[in-house]
Amino acid sequence: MMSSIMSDVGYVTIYANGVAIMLLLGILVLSSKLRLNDENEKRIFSSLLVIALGMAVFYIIISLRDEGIIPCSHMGAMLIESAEEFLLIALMVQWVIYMDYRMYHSPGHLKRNLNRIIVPVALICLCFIINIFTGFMFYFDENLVYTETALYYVVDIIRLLFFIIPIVMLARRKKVDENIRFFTIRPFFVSILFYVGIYYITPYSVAALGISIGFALIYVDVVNAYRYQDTQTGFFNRNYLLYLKDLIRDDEYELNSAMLFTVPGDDIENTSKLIHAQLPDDCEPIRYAGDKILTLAHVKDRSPLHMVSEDVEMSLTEAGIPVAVAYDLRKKKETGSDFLERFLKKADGDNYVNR
Amino acid sequence: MEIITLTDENIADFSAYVDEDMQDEMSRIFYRGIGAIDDSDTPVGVLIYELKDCESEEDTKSRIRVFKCENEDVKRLLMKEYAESIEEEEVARSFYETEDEHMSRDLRENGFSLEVSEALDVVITIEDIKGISKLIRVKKFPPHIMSLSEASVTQYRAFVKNCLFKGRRGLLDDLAYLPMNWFEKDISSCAVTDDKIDGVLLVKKAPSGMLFALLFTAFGPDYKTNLGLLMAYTAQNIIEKYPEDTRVVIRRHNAMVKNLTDKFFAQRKGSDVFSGNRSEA
Amino acid sequence: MDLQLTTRNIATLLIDGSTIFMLGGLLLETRIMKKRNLDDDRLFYILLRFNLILALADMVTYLADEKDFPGARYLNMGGITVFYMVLNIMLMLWLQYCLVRFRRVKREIRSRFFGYFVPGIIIEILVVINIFTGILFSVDENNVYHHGVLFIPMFVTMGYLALLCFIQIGRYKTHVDREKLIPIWIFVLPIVAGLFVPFVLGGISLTSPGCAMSIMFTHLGSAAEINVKGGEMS
Repeated sequence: MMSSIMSDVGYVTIYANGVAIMLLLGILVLSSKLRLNDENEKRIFSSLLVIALGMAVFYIIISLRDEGIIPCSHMGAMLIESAEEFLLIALMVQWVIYMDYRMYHSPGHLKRNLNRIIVPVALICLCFIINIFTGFMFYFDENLVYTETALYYVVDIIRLLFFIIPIVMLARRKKVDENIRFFTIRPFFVSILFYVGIYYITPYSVAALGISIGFALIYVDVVNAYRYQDTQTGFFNRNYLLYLKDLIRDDEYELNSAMLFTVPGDDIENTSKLIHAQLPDDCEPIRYAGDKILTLAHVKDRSPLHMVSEDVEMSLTEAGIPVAVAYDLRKKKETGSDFLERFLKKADGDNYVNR
Repeated sequence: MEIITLTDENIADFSAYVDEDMQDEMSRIFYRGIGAIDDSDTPVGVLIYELKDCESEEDTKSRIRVFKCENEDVKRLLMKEYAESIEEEEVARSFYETEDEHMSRDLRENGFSLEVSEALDVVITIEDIKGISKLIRVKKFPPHIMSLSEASVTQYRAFVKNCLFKGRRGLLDDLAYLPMNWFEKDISSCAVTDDKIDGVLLVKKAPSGMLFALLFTAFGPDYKTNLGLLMAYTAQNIIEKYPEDTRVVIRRHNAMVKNLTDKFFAQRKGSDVFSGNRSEA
Repeated sequence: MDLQLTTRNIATLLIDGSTIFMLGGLLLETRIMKKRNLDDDRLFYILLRFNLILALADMVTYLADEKDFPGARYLNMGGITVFYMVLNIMLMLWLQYCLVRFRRVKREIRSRFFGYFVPGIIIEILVVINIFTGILFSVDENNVYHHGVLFIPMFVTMGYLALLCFIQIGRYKTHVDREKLIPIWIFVLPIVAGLFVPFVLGGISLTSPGCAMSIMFTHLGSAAEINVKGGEMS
C-alpha cells in the first residue's frame, strides 16, 4: 500500500488525472498565446481541452468519493456520475466538431454534419437523464458501489464510434486534400486508444490521461503547421517555400505556374486580407519578402492567373494601394525546380514587370 | 473570290452554311471563322474552327466545327487560309467530328484521317429527364441548393477561379471569359456553402431551343451529395419550364460523364459520326 | 521470472507509460519535421530521447524495487544509476536549449561554462563513482533503496540547474512585450511538481512526466514566442 489514507487504485487515479490536468492546463495556456490564422479552430480546440480538463477533475472527485474521503448521498453519487457522463458526451460532440472543422474549415458543412448527429446525441442524453431516477444504465447499491448494465456498454460503443469515425474520415481525406497533410494521426490516436482500453479493462480511471496526451500531440501538430505561418499576414512563410521546393524536386508537387504580388510593406496586414479575399482556395500564398507575396499553383492556363491578377489589382486599386502583379507558366520541357528557380530569380530582381 | 474573317456582325450572312446555334457560338473567344465570298459578295464557303489549349504551354489544338463550300476552288482556298491561320496560332494538331459526310470527305482529301465511331454527344429527352427525377427523389431541396439566378456575380466569379485552379472546366475552354448570364440561369443550379459556390450544373440554351449541359462539378466536403442534388434540381426545373419536345445534349468528354450517362440514360446512344485528325507540325 | 507486480508497479507503468507515449509521439513528429525541412531543433530531439531513457529507467527501477527475483537488486541499482545520470544530462541540455532557443546567446555558454555546466559534470562523475562507493544512493541486500551522504547536495545541484533554466526563460521575457508572454509557471510547474509531489505524498515517481512536460512546453512555447516576434526559427 502506498498510503493508509487511500487505496492504491485511488492513488493511481489521482496521480494519473493530476498529470492529465497539468498537461491540459499547460496546452491550454500555450494555445491561448498562439496567433492562428483561423481563430475558430483555436476556440474549438480550447473547448475540447476545457471539457477534457473537466473530465479529469471529475474523475478525481469520483475517486475521492469512492475512497470515502468526500461524503456522498445516493442521489449525490448518481448526479456526480451523470455529470461525468454528460461531460463525456460533450467531449464526443466537440471532438466531432473539431475534426470536421480541422478537415474542411467550413462552418456551413459543420452545421449540416451536426444536424446528422444531433438525434443520436439527444437520445443518449435523454437516457442518462432518465437514468438518474431509474438506474437502468448504471446505478449505486446501498453501499454506494457502482454497477453498469448491458445498455451502458451499447452507449459506450456508440461513443467509441463517434471517436473513431472522424479519424477514419481524416485518414481517407489526407490522401486527396493537401491542406491537411500536416495532420498526423498515429501519435494521438494510439495513446488515446491505449489508455481508454486500460480504463475499460482495469479499475483505474486513466482515460483522461490518454486523452490529454492525445490532445497534447494534436497541439504539437498545430504548432508544427504554425511554424510555417507568417504571423503578420497569415500567409505561409519562407520555411514553407523551402518545404515546397523539396516536394517539387521530388516530383511530389506539380508546379505549373506562379504569381507574384509586390505591395508596399507598411500596413501589410490589411493588404494581405484584400489579396487573400481574391485568391482561389487552392492557392497557397507565401510571404516571400517584406513586400512580396508569392503563390505557386498547379494550374496550366493563363486565363485563371489573369483573372486573379485582374481581381487583385482592382481590389487594391480601389483601396488606394499600389500593386504590381506578375505571373508565369512553366514551359513544356522545363522541370518544376527549374521553373521555380527562374521565377524567383526574376522576382528577386528589381526589373520584374507586369505581364 | 475573296476570303474574309467571320465575326459576330457578318456571320448572319452565312446562314445558308451555318445554323443559328453555331452562329451564336461565334461570339466565343476561341472560335475563329473564315468565309469565302464571290465577286458579287455572295457567300460560297465557310470554315469555322475552335482553338483548344491555346492558353497553356500544352500543344494548341484546333477542332474544325464547320467546313462547307460550293466547289473545289473554294475548298482549296479555305484550306490554304486555314493552314496559314493555324500556323500563326501555333496549332499542333487539327481534328474534327461531324455527321456531315461531305465535310468528312473534304477533310479527308486534305490530309485528315477518317474513322466512323459513336458520337460523344448524346441527346436526351424530357421523358429521360423525368426518369432521373424518379431515381433521385428529393421532396424538399436543402437551402444550400439553388438556381444560378440566386447567386451573385461575385460568387460566380470566385467559383470560376476556384474551378479553373482545380483544373475543372468541363467543355468550357473559355470558362474564364464567359459571363454568368451566358448560361440559362433559371435551370442552371449551384450549391452554396459558407457564401461560396462549391458545385454547379451549368446549362446553356442555344437559339434553336436545345439545351447543352456544359459544366457539372462540385468540390468541398459534401461534393458527392451535392452532385446528386444539383442534377435533381436542374432536372426538376427543366421538366417544369420547358416543353415536352425539348432536347438536352450531354457531351461524354471523359469517363466520369460517360459513366453518368450510362447509369441514367443507358437507352441513349450517340449517333454515328465521322472523325479524324491531322498533324500540323 | 515472476515480477510480483503490485498496484504501485502498475501505477508506475501507466504514468511512465504516458511519458513514453508523449515522447514517442513527439519523436514521430520530429521524423516528419525533418522531412519538412524544419529540422532546426536538434537539441530538443536529443532531449526527447534522453527523456525516453529516463522514463524507461524509472520503470525498470520501480518494477525491480523491493522484489526478490534473481537480479532484482542489480536491476534496481542499474536503473537508479541510469536515471540520475540521464536526469543530470537532461538538465544540462535543457539549460543549453533555453540559452540557444530563447536567449540566443551561444557566447554566454562559453563564458559562463564554469557556473553553468561544471556542477553538472561533477554530479555525473559522482554518479559513476557511486556505483562502487554508495555516497549518493545505494540498494541493500534486501533490495531496498537508501539515500547516501551526498544525496541532498546532488538533489540541490540538480535543482540549481533547473533554476538556471527558469532564469534564462525569465531573462528572455524581460526583453520583449510582456503582454505576449507565456507565463513562466508553465515551464516551472511540471518539473517541480514531478520532483516534489512524490516526495510529499509518496508512491510513484513523477519525475519523467514532469520533465517531459516542462521540455515539451519549452519547445512549444519557444515556437509561439518566436513567431509572435515575427521572426523565423533560427
